[in-house]
Amino acid sequence: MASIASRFTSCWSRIFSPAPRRPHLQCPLVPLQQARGAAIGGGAHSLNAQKYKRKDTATAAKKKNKARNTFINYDLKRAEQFSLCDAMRYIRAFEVGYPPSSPKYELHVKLRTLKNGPILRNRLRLPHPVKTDVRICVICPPDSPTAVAALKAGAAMAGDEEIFAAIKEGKIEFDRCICHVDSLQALNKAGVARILGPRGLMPSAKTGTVVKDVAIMVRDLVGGSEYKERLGVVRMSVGQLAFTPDQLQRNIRAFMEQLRKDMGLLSDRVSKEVHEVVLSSTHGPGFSLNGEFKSPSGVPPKDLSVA
Amino acid sequence: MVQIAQRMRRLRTLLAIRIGPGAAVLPPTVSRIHMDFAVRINQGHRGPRHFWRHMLPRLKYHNPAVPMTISRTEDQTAPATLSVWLRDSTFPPNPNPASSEAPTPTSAERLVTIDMKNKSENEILDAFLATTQGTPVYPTPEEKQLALDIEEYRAKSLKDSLRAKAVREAELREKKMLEMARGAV
Repeated sequence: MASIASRFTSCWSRIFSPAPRRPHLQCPLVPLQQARGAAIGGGAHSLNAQKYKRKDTATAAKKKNKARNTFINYDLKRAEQFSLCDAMRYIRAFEVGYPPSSPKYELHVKLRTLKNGPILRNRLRLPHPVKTDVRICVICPPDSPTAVAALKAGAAMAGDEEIFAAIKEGKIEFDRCICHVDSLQALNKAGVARILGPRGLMPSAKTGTVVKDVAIMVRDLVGGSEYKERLGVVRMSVGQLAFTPDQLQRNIRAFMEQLRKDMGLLSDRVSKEVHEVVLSSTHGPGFSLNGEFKSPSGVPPKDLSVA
Repeated sequence: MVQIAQRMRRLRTLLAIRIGPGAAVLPPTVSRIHMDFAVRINQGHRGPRHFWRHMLPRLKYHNPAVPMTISRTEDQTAPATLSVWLRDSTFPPNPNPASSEAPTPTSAERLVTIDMKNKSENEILDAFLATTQGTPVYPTPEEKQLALDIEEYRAKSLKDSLRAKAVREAELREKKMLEMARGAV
């Protein structure tokens, strides 16, 4: 984002002559605080001054210290918002010249939410997967029916003792790790948490990576993507640059649908609402979306389907 | 997320992708563009790189349906060429290219190459527009006004930042002097 300003500034001077200076409104501002202080001057300790001294300084300080418990949500009334096709047109101009599978579209969903409340965290399988080469490791007894099923579903490796030994040697050749419920004890005893934990690979029931039906989980993970709310914003990559507007729309719709479901599952006391949806990309700026597919003056969507 | 006013102010600079050198509408006879040049700028690859960075986004914005691809090589001695595929206006457009490799032109297409080596981006743009007969897009009065506003804002912010820097440096100097004085006692 920071690049757009600097990237094109050189051209301004070339097209346009330097700006005529707008006459500045020179307001003869008298520093009021000083003026008042000077008037009281030497008689600051007079009786009158003490009588009218502000008494609520303590309460003012208390008010200031009270931290807000929600994130600031700016009013979007004056924000410029774009239809999906218009935003895509700009983004594709920013990403011109990169191989079509390399830059990704990202979606940022700003929520109206409490700072200290529960957060949204889940994974989903988009209609058009963004990244399909995830290597998955399954912890379960080797050569058991579960291991066979997991490998069939697309896992890179399945086993227990061999994998623990490999991890301890520092060979971690996978991006995700899931564990069968029955093998959890073996995993905890193996002492690999020290290695896997910091990398965010350690399976635990809290992250939903300890499951009974490993095969289904693997199928979900291959081509699935995770998302998590951080500071009131959920960010996820929703498409490759080569996607057509229709593909991207289906992905965004699926993601928003899932978010809505997640928000409904939270307890009744906390409420979360979507405040703003922003589409950005690997090298492009963020475009606030207005929820429409195309604007009346925009280019036809089929023009946006080529590299 | 960043404050909304700041974000919108940044977005105003999107104007730079709508107008400026390189903003041109190409005729429907142009079916695709491909650039070949090296990764670094030495040995005459500066112009091509600047053409890609500054002018290709504008071309892409005004011609979203024209595929524009780039392949860069590690070999600095390699030639730098801009290839343009021209076709009859009745011929159906190309399918979506799967990679950034340049395909061979089909029978109904004509391949024109422009040598970009040791040329500035403006020379390349002139040659390109002459070949394709694209029509440049000129800013409307509103866009001109917006550009002037942005420029004015930029100049003002530069002045402000210099002033703030002077104040900060003065404070720092004073602090240092005080520290030195204390150290001497």
